[in-house]
Amino acid sequence: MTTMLLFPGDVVPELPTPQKTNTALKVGPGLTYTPPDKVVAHRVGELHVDDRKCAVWMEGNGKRYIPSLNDAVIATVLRSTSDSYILAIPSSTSPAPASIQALLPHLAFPQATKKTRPILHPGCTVYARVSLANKHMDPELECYDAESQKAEGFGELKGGMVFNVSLGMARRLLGDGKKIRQLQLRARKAEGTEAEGGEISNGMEVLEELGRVLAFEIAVGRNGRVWVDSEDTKVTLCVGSCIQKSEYLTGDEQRALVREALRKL
Amino acid sequence: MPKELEPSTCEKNFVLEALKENLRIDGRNFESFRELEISFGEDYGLADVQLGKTRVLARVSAEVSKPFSDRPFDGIFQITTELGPMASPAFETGRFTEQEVLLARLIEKAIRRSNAIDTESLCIVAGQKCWAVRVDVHFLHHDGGLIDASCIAAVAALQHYRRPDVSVDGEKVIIHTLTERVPVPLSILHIPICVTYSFYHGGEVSLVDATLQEEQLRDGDMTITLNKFGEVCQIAKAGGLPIGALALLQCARIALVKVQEITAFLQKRLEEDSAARTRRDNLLESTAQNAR
Repeated sequence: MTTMLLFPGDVVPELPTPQKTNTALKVGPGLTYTPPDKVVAHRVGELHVDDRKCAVWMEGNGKRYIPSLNDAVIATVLRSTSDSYILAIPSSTSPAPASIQALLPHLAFPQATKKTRPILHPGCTVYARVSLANKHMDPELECYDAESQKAEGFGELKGGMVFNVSLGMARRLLGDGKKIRQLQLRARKAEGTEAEGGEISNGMEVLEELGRVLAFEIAVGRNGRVWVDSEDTKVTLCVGSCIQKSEYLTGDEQRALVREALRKL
Repeated sequence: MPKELEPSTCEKNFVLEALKENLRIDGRNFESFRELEISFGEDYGLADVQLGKTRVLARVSAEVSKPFSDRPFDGIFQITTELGPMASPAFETGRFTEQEVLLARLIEKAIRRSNAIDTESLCIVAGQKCWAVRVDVHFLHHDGGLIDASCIAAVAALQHYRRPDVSVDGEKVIIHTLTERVPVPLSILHIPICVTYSFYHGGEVSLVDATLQEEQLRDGDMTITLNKFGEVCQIAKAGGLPIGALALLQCARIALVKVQEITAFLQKRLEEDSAARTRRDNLLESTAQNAR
């Protein structure tokens, strides 16, 4: 698989053909399907093709976060109304809250009733999942997992610090890089060029390396915000700055960066 | 109107707590600037200043106009600063916010009223014709420290600018094009640089060159404008936390070191630029000769 750079308006040249008869082509973010047989990019990025799943999507580094279903985001409470909280979902690069305001119903917490709901004050940081994302409506959030109906880490984030990273980096920290890496490895295997090309970074070596030595809590929002908490201010800062600095580094460079930072700590 | 989002409670607590432990979020000292980068444009009088993520562009232009009737021997010099949504979505065009007015006044006081430019040298024919020099400051990205960055950008652009040469023959004034005669630099008397301090924890902590996040959380701020000779051009402190005289002296002393560093860096960049220009001009001339 060769990665291909597409600009808005470019037509995807080669689409994977479904292997089974009853599967259809899956068109992911960044691409628009124009009947009968054209798929056009609507933002800039790398084209990724997964032949097995018969899916195409774009991987880019946009500036503004646009909510989509089931994304985990880190949002800030603005105010409370009679039945829901109003939250801002700030993107890492655009600080104005009016860009996106989201609704978090008072009862959208695990086992919440009118009496037992958690009280969130304006300024609180919340880790939540997007439960409704339509084009012309305010998005809605929930603080429980869709399947298990349990908290699974969602809810108010107390203490700690929120760091900004780019949207692409946030996705990699959540494990998207691993998937892409697997795809690339598989493609190399198919072409018989396994030994060439060197190591492929999954974009989160920095976390693996930090986690080996330091004790900290972390939550990554797809809106480009990373919440870090630990016992010591210095550790929190170290983790935050390592993540921010590692954006454009390869796996080995990331490991070296972390070792260097730990030595200074 | 989108208002700037306040830092959340946990960010606020963390930043203030870290300051107590002598730590800044970006790992700087309390008394150090972010990484400064100055670059100049193809034309004369275009300076692009990057201070960390903050980015400011200043453009100098000049035209011939009539001097004010009460000052027949002086040229006209003005600075315009406008905060637009390009810098941050929280800014709107055409509406003067308090921040914008303060910024414009501060820059005006720092550069124009401290007589950084010798306006008398801009006079061509007394009472009839003079140069009107204007500096347009554009804000490209806002991450705190707008005052410091725009002041550096404005003085850098002024130093880089060359106006066309003029010759006066009685009543007749001839403006020579840039190719006809070597353009002349503006006569600059001194180079004022602003250093902004932010105060926290009742004045116990003072930071130089705060980022946007730190600016939003500060208790008070103060801007000192100095030149490299240690002459104070202005001290601006619009409200906020009261500061003792000793603390103020201490701030001014640190500011002087910073101003000297910045001036030296600016000078270095200007020399590099002029060297590159000479090299390019020589190259151009030689190719023309060869073609003949």
